Amino acid sequence: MFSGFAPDYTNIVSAARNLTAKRLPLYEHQIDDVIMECVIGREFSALQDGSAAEKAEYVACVCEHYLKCGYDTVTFERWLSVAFPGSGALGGHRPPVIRDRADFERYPWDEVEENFFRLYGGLYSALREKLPAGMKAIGGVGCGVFECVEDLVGYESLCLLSYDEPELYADLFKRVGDVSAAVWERFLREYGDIYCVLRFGDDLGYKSNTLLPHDDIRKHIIPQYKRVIDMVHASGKPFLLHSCGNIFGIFDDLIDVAGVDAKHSNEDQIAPFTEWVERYGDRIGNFGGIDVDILCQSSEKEIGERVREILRKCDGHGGIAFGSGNSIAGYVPVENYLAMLRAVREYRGEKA
Amino acid sequence: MSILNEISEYIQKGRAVEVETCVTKALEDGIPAQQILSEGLLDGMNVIGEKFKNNEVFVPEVLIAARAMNKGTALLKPYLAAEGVKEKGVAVIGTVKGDLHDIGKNLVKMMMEGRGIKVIDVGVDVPAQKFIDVAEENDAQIICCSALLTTTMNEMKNVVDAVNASGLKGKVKVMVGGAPVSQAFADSIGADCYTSDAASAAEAAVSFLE
Repeated sequence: MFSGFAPDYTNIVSAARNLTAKRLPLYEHQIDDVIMECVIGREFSALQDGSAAEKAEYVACVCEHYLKCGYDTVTFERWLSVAFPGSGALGGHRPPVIRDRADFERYPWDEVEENFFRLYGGLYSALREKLPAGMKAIGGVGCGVFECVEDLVGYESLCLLSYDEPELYADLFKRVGDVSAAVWERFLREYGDIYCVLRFGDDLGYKSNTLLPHDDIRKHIIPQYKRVIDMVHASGKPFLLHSCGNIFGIFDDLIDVAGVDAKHSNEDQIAPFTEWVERYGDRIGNFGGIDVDILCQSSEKEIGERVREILRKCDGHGGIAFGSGNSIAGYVPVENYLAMLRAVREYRGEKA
Repeated sequence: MSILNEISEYIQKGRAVEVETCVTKALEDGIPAQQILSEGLLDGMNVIGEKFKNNEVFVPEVLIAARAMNKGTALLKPYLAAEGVKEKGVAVIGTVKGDLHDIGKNLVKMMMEGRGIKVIDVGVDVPAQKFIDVAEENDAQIICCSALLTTTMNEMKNVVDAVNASGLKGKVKVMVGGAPVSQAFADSIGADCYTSDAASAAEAAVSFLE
């Protein structure tokens, strides 16, 4: 729909470093394969589980989607939590695999790193081969320590553990943090060149507060974030945190102690994107924009108006990358997704 | 400090063993089970609920308090039955069809139980008709629908419509909540109540039952 687009990944690097980009970059945390299939006009999702050639074709299709839609980067990550044997207590509704100290002690921690690279190394390698000129990837090793721990223990069980077995509770974050750091170290060594901005997602909040007490997050989670972020910074790249929910109570720590350079995720029920920009735009890059509910429920015309309204309010506030407040899930009407993209691309002066 | 105050304090701290000890002692002292429940256990949960609403405590504190309350309630149950004490009312709670998220639902359930309401949890991915069937079977006065996803919240309208099409119309209040849900959305589907947090949901439920 737009012609002459030439991707330039430095735009999103600028946004992550809280500098005004030469051209406003688009960004999404995730886009469901079914949406990308609609956009490029062919099915490809199943290829990711196939042979090396099929994996390469899968990644090529993903890249084609991002290029066609006017992104400067390809969002690409795979979840670390999946590589933990027996996980799924958070996302998979499975019973917790760690319930007590004995479970913790016999857990096969040493298998996780190999699992991750065995499962996903082929896809990351294919990404290196298929990235279009001018594009790099944004993402890395998906899931922070909190979501990994939740996936092993279950959220409510984890809350109870914090009182019943505080040493085990602390050890869980440390041990998962060790695994995460080892995976990230290898990831940066083997695939870091593909990426211009590194990130993970770790939903720390819900509608009105954080899921764990602020002090617990400061004590058990932020130090583990810092280990990863320090590695990312040592590789010369910025770090983007995706975290849903009302996390204002610990946000200063995430910036000042953990060292996040940019943050993504906004829900209008908590605070619209413009409020995040207003509050933190002088300190970090802000990624996000239109609430997913609005994206789903509004007309294309209303979406265009909303995009322009947000962008007007954000003008002059430094590093911005625009997209949905969360993800383009499979249930987002594809025409509404395209309406959002169209509004952004028109705003940045692209011609059809 | 009176034994009932002690029970309330121990509830707030989530000290289940101490709650059981104090409830047992209170029963031995001849305090009516209903008084132990309302001035001890539920009083403690009310304090926790209020603090949770004001962001003074977090989910783990609510969970351990609810667990302690359940221990105390279990001890009181036969005595409450003997005294002929009934719950304040009955609520049916579930996460709507297509949605598997249950943390918010579980919190609302705990908060409502902490206000003396019998809560029947029908789980996750619940079709509209199941809310109706369970509410009818249990003479419920309230149906609570939870959703995390912006698409599944539309299923709440089906629950409201199903209530209106059933014999429950005018007898049952439909409450809705969850991350994408707002007052405007609740109004648009004709739900009776929206609250933004679990403690407020319990308060609203109590007000419907009074």
